[in-house]
Amino acid sequence: MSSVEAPAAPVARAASGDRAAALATVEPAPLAADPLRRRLAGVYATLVVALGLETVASLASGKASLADVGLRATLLELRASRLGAGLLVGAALAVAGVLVQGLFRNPLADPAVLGTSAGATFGGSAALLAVELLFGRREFAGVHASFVLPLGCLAGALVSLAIVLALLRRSGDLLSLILTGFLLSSFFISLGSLLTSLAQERWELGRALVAFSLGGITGTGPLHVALAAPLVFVGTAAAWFWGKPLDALLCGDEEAIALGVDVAQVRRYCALWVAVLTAGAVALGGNIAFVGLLVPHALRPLLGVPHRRLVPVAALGGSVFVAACDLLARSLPARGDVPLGIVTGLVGAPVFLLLLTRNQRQQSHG
Amino acid sequence: MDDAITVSELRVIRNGRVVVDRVSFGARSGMVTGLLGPNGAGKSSIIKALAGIVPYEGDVWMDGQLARKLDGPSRARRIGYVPQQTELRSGLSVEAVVTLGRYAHYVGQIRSTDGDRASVARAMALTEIEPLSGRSFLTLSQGERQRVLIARALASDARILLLDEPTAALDISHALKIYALMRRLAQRGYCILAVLHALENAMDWTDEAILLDRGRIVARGSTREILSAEMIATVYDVCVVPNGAPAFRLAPARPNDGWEGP
Repeated sequence: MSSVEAPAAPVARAASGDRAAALATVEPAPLAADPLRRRLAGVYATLVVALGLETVASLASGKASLADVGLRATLLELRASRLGAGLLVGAALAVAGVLVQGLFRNPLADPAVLGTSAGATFGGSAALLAVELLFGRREFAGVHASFVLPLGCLAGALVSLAIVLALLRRSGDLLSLILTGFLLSSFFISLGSLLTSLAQERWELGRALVAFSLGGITGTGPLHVALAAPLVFVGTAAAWFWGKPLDALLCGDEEAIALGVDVAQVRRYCALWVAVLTAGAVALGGNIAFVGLLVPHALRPLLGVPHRRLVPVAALGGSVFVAACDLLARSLPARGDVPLGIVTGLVGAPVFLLLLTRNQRQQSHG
Repeated sequence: MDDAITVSELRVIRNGRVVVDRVSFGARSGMVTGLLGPNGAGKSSIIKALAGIVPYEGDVWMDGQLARKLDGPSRARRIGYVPQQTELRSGLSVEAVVTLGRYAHYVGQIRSTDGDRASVARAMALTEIEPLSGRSFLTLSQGERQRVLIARALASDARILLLDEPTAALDISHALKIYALMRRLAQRGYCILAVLHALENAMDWTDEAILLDRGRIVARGSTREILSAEMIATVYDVCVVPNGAPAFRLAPARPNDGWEGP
């Protein structure tokens, strides 16, 4: 090591003259960085205020009134769990979106593209079915279904991930990765549908599986949220940590390798964290559409592409978006709540279209 | 060891075909060494093998260290790679692109240090791209992009630079600026190894040259000595006809811009 560092030293001294000049000329850089910093502060402030308003709104609003003192504690606990679930689902999916988009160097990639969402959905359905078939009821010896569901989702996502990684080991290119993810998605969706159709013989179970696969956070309890939260927090922290190599990967595989990036390792780990995040999201809310695609896409024009800047804002933005959609889902005129996954899709698709056309217009105007 | 980079019995196989066949050479610090030869001679494969992009057989020493024993970041701290054209299609700022060159120093490090910022500033000063600092990379001209990519390679503090046809997409003015930059860097003690296509430019801007043909070295030494009419005729399968023209030689607009004259 030292034998190599040594020859660099005299040159560094020689260069110190123009380094001083360089620093002098770089001095205005904070000015150039200022608008970005202001924009970043603005985005954070807006999102935090929105989050605060949503928190108040979702705790205060609902079909039952908080005026009833006897019910107040229970109602608040239910609403807080539901809010917590919404925030975590949003954060997990948005951060997973940032990860896959970096992984595929494509801003239009969705977390579902790796097949881990479908794997997690199947795992969750299988877990619900197994609990019901083995124990005949939703609770057994203190083991609640809400305990089994996150584990099932995580197991399903990891099985799907294991298949992806095994194939990635043989051929590491992005095309095989995307094709494998697509095939796995179809396969697990079929398996999930098979389970749902088998479960139709038992009315309650069938309903539970359909509700789960439609995507909703209506029935989540505090235990449920507490179990899924570590998956989301760890996944988000890991996504931030892998931000630097993902930035380098924007230059393509060859240049990233030359920069010192272990490209295969980055792919493996990012796929793992996408799996963990989607498992957390699916465990809490089933299939929630568009969040992973929409939120990073909406933030990138404001914040630029660097991943470490994007990850925390995406987590916050995803939370705000999903919580807003959940408030909307509750206020739509329907007999029960409209499943959250349907609302995010209904809101997300037009908004995404709007963003796409706006970006295209900006690009065509230089 | 005098050479900054020493290559011994390098063999590269791509798609089952031997594209570089037991090639041995060295490149020295303070010099611009050209890798010359017709298409398919294996020039780019050598550069990519040295940059760690394609696997190879044989031994490579960088600054006296055996390259095979270095991990990715250690290798990247010794050797910088400038592609012919980058695959970067994202709107990163110029400064962010140059900062990517610090990746090899980031491993296990959360925040960038003063040392990182100093290296980035130095690389941008050497390539004269400070005025572009806040611009989006995608808005730059090809010539500006190429200088940013050279700055990215320099930001790693590598003393060896590999350039793969750095002027292929450039007009003559921008190409000359890149050649002058290569010369300036060599004068500052860098080891520059560049794949070049245009022989007349190689003649003007490289000190030494390695002439390759079908994966083997045909000649190596001082560029002016090895690029004889007979050698060019043999390797490139062309006829060299002296016709007296051109009567002028193109040089960068600023006379002292690394130009020493023939």
